[in-house]
Amino acid sequence: MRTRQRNRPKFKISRRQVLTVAASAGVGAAAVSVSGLSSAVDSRLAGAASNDEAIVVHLRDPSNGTLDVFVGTSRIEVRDKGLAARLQRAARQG
Amino acid sequence: MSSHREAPEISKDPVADSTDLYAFVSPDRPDTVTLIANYLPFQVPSGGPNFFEFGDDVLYEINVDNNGDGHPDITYQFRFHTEITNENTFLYNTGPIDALDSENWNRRQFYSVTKVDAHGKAQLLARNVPCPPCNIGPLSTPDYVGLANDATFQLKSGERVFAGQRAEGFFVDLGAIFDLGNLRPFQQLHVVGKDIFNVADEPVNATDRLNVSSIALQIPITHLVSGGGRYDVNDQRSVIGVWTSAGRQQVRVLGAAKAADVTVGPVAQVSRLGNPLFNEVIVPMAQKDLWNTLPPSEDKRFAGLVEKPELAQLLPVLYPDVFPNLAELNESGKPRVDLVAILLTGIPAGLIDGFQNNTGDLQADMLRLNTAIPPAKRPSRFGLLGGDLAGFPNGRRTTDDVVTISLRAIAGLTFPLIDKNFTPDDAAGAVTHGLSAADVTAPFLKHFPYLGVPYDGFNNPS
Repeated sequence: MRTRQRNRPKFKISRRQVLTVAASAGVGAAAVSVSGLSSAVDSRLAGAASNDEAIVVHLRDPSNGTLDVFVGTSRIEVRDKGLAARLQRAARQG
Repeated sequence: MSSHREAPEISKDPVADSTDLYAFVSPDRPDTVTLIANYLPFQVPSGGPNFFEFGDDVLYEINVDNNGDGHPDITYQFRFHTEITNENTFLYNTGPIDALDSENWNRRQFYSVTKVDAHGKAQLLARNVPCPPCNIGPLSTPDYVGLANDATFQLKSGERVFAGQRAEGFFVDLGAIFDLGNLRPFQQLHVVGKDIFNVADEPVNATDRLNVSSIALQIPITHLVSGGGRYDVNDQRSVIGVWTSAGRQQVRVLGAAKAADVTVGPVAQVSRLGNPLFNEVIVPMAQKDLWNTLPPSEDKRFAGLVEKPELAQLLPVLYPDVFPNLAELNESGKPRVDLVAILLTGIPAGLIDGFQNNTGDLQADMLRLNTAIPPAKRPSRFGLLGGDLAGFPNGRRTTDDVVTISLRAIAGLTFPLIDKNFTPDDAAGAVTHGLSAADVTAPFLKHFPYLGVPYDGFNNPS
């Protein structure tokens, strides 16, 4: 993962202000759902990927067309023999 | 050691490599527990210009089980991100770093803290919390103590938190131990060493004057224990099991989309640490990588290795005629139920007066802490073996000599807990690597985050 470059004004804060920033974040932040983040199992609850979100497909078992689709923090298992066959053909052409 | 580079795969991934885990009732705030998870071993203080930092692509977790099922009831998650202040310099800093928002500091790291409950419900406790810089030297970080103090935060949710570089607090004579299990104070008795050494020698702390990256939390006890109360020492609800883990997203595509990496998929665990030395000494090399990927609830499959530890078999071989009773115990085939209790279930009530840290029958490697045991007024570095109920293996304090405690336990000193007829060898109560917290150059702090000020590069160049 690449380092994010700063794209916001340089903050000039005292220690006291830093303390407030960190503490108030806890107040303003409602519970957020990130339960899939620490799980290495399938997460079928994730919403559809947005158009610009990276998707990586792993053809796990060509014989039955099992694919792992990795998107966001999820792995979605897909069975599609036709797609598997097309991927294999594309790979051979590569 | 205690978990530095302890498995083949994680030794190649230092930023995700957990090295030590501490859990103790805070001596200066006994209504709280302090949890410290160290990562990124063997930091040479002068190792710039890209000094040490947490992984932006690593999910760090400190897990607490308070009902003995080997699954976390509370998880604190830490996610880091790094920012560059000045895109036109190769330097870590372009002048003295005299504050956490100094414009001279070119590469800063921030983190978020998320608390997850047993049902997976997450609550963001804080975000954009700054780490201190690494300790560079008197010109770059002239007031390092002040910077570290400024990077210690009290959250409104009740926790105190710190994440950043600290002095390595673990002490061990690696150079001797990894040379065929040699212990310099006993090298003249070693099966090979007796042909080379005539006398004992002084130990060497191989991890002295090195730094680590620490994630430290101080949490009210009532936030951690089941039911949220304060319980009697004999009440199982007073006991928590702690481990740290680190994970990475499963897929990473390097250099895609105009050199921006793509990282997707669920997080897969790559590192785990509960009791010191468990994966290091108990688990065979061929299974260490697997162990790192599993939760403690799966540890039953390693129980046989605890019942018959390889090191217990080795000691009488490495030190002939020194451990005859241990050799006899080994030959008897009796399972080391004492070690199973210490490492996998906690010590049940009735074995040690006024003490238990048992979490039930489930066998899981967790650092178990009975939160009803108050901090010791005069701690023994030998913890429970020294009659100090507040020390390892009741949790672990920064100054506990876990190497010697573990050596003595494996040598048979704790077997009488479950077999009164067994007499430990005299050597079992004397064996040691010879080091103590006094062999750590940087003084331990008496307050959070307890580990010493990291060594600076200028004064510790190699």
